[in-house]
Amino acid sequence: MYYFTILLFLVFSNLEAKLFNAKSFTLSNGLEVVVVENKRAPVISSMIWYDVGSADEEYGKSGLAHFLEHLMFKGTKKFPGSTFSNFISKNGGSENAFTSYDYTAYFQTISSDKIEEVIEMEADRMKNLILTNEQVETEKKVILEERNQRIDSRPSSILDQDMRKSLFPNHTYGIPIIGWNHEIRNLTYDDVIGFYNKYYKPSNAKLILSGNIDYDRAKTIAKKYFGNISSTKNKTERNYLKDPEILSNINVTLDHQDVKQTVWKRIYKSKSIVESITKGIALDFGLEIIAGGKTSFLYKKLVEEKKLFSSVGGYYQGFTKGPATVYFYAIPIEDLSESQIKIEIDTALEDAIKIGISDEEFDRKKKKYYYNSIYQRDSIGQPAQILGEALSIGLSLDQTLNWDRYIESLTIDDVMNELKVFIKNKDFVTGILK
Amino acid sequence: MKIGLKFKYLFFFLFFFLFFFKSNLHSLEPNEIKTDKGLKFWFVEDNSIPIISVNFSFSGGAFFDKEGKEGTSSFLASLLDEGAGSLNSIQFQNRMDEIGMKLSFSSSRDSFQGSFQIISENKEQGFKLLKSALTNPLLDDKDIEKIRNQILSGLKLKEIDVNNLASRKFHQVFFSSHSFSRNVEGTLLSVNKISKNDLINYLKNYLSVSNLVVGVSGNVKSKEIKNFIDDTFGHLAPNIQNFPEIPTKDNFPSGIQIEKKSFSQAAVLFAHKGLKRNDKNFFAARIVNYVLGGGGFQSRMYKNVREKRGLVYSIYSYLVPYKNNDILLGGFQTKNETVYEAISLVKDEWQKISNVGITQKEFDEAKTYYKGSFSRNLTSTSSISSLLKVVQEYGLPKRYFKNRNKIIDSLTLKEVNMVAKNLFNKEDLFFTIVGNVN
Repeated sequence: MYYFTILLFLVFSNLEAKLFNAKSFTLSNGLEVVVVENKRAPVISSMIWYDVGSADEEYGKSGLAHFLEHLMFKGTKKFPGSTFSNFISKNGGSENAFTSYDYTAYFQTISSDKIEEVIEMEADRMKNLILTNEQVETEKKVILEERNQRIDSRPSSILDQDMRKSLFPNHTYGIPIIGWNHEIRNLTYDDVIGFYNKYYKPSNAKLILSGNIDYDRAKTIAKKYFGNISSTKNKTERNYLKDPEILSNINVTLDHQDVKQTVWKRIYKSKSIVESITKGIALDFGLEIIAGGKTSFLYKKLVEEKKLFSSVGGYYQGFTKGPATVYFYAIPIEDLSESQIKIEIDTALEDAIKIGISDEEFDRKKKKYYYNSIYQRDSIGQPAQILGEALSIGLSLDQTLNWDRYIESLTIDDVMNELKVFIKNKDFVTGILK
Repeated sequence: MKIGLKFKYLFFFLFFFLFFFKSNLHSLEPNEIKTDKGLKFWFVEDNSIPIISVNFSFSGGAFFDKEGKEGTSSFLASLLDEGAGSLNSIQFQNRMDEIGMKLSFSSSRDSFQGSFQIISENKEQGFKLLKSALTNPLLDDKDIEKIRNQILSGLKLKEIDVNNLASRKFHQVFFSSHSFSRNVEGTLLSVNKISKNDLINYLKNYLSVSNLVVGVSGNVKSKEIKNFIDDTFGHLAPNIQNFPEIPTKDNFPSGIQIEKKSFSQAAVLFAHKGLKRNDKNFFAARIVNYVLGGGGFQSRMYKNVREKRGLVYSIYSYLVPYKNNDILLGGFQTKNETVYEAISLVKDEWQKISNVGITQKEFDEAKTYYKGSFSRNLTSTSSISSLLKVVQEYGLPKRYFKNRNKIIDSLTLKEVNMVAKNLFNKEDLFFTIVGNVN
C-alpha cells in the first residue's frame, strides 16, 4: 500500500561524492541561498523555506502559520492582488506552498528565463505583504472548509489528530498544523501580521534554486532582490515544552457508524535525525527491514503466513526539529480484538529482532537506497525539496550532501542496536478506528 | 489528478515530478520503431541519467470485466508483481530491489496501464523480469487470496471517503447502462466471485498486441531497445481482428442526484458531455475550460467560489479524456449548508462562459500558459515515456509535438468562444451530491 510508504529522502550514492551538485552562500542579512545547477533543460525550480511552522505558534493561536501561508498569496503594494500567481500562470509555470510543524515553504517551477521576475516577487512578499480585514475573514472560511475536507469529514484523520494530541500533551506537535476549529475562528488580522513580522525575514529563511541557472547569476539576482531587506540576524528563539513520559497505556478509539473496516495504528515518540544522524539512519533502515513494504518481516509474518491482516507496516518520521515519530498501522481481515491485534504486532516485532538481519537483506537494502538516489536525480524539484527540508530542520548542507558517508559506514550492529532500543520504547499511543 | 493540492499542511509532502529535457523543449521528436515481430512503439533516447522508463497500456481496462465479476482487471493489476516464472512474490520483490527496478500496474474504466523503470546497467535482467510478469505470472492461490483481502479492505475503507462515494454515485447514474457506470475495483460482492480462471482469461484475452501501445525514454540505444520491446511484448496474444471498442454513450442525464450521508461536508461532482481528445476543437475547449475551472489559482471558479466567497477549499473542472466517451467534469466540497449556493455559482459561471465567452486577455494568457507549460511535462524519463504513450493512445500523429504550438497559435478568440457557446450548457449539467443535504 503505497500510501504508507515513506522514503527517507536522503540516500547515498557510490558514483558521485556528493548527493547533489550544490553550492551555497549567505547574504549579509542572513539569507542562506543554495544553488543546484542542472542545465538539462531551460527550467528552474525556486523554493523559499521559512524557518517557522505550526509548532512555533503561541498556545491558543493554532493554525496561524498555515493561515499566513494562504494569505501570502494576496499581493503587495508593488505586485497587488494576484499579480504573482498570474505571472506564473501565464508563463506556463506552476506554484504551490505548504506548512509543516517545523517550516513553511513556497515554490515555483517555471521557464528559467523568468527566474528574475519570480525572485523579485518572492522577495517583495517577504516584507511588503498587504492584507485587509475582509481578506483575512474570507480566507478563514476557506481554511475552515479545508479543515473540514482534510480532517473533520475523514474519520481516519480525526483519529490521527487525536492520537498526536495524546502523544504530545505539552509540545506543540500535538496540535494539528491546520489548527483547532475554535482557535482558527478567533484568529485576527493582528495575529497574522504579528506572526508575519516576527518570522518572515531573511535571517529566518533559505532560498533554494535548482535547475538551469549559474551560481554567479543566482548570487547576483538573490543579492539584488533579497539583499536590501533588513533583518535582525539572531535566530528566532524556541522554547518547546517537553512532554512527560507516558507511563500507562493510552488507547484512542474512534467508533463511527459507517466504518466497515477496522484500522489499527500506533505512534511512538522517538529521537530525530537531528539528534543523531547515525542513529536516525540506523532506525530508519531497521524499520524498513522489519516493517517497510511487502518484503518486510511483519508483512511476511502477519499478512503472508498468518493471514491475519490485509496489510501492515511501519516507518520512521525522523526529519523533525523536535521529537521524531514512528508510525505503525495494521488492517485486520477478520474482527480481531484490539488486544489480539496488539499481541500479534508486538510478538512479530519481538520475533523480528530476535531473528535479526541477514547480510543479504542488509546489502539489498543498501542497494535499494543507492538506486533510489539515482531516481531522485531524475528531477530538479526533488533536490530543492530535500535540501530545503534538511536545512530547515537543522542539518548542515555539508552533512546533507555527504549523506552517503553515513549510509556506507552503517553496519548491521548499528541497526540492531537501534531496533533494540526501539522495541523497549513505551512512549506511544495506540489508536483504533472501528 | 493534481487539483486541489494547494496548501498542503501535512507533515510530509510529496513533490510531483516536473521539469526538464535537454533539447528543444517544444519539439519532442519521438522515434517510431517497428520490431521484428511487427510491434510499433515510440522512443526518445536520453542519456543524462542512467535510467530507462517504459509506459504502456492496453485499451479496454475494466470495460472487459465480465458482468458480476466487476473488478477483475484491477485485481489482475495488483497480482502481476506478486511473483512470476520461478520467483514467488517475495523473491520477485527482492529481485526488483536488487536491480533497481520499479513496476506498477493499474486498471481504469478504459485501459489497463503499466509502468516500468530500470537502472540502465541492469536492463537485461529488468526486461526479463517484466516479460516474466506479463507472460508468466504465478497467480498463486495464496497470493490471489491475499490480494483479494487487500482489495476488500480498500473497498470498505472507501465507504467512509465522501469524495470516493460521490465519484461512485456519479458514475452509476451518469453512465447508467454503460460499462463506465461500474466501479473499477468492483464491489464486495463481485470481488468475492472473481476466480483464478477469470484472472487468467483476462490476462490471455485482453493483454494482447492488438490493444497495446508503448512509449520508451531513457539511457538505451534504439537498436537495443527494439530487441527488448520485441522480446518483452512480442509473446503476448497476437493481433486479433475486430478487437472490441468501448461504445459511446450519448444520452446523459441532467439535474441533481442526492445521496444522503452524515458527513460534516458534502462532496459534489458535476458534468455534461465534452469533446473528444482528437476532435479538431479539443484545444479550443481546453482553453475555455482553463479559464473556467482549470488554471490553478487563476480560474474563474477558483476566484469566485473560493477567493471571493470562501465557500470551498478546492474547485475544478476538466475535460476527461476517455477515448470514446468525452465528458466535462467538475467538483468541489463544501459544508452541507452552502451546497446549493455553490451549485448556483457554478451554473452562473457556466452560463456566463457560454453567453459571453472569454476575454481577449484570458485567451492570450491561456495560450501562453499552454505553450509555456509543455516543458514541465517533459520532466523526467518517466514523464516523457508516459507522454509518448498517451499521444499514441489517442491515435494522434508523431508530429503532434511539433504541431502543438501551431495548433495553439492558429486559434482565434472568435473560434474559441464559438466552441464555448456550443459546449457549455448549464441546463445539461448533472450534479451528484453526497452529504447531509435535502
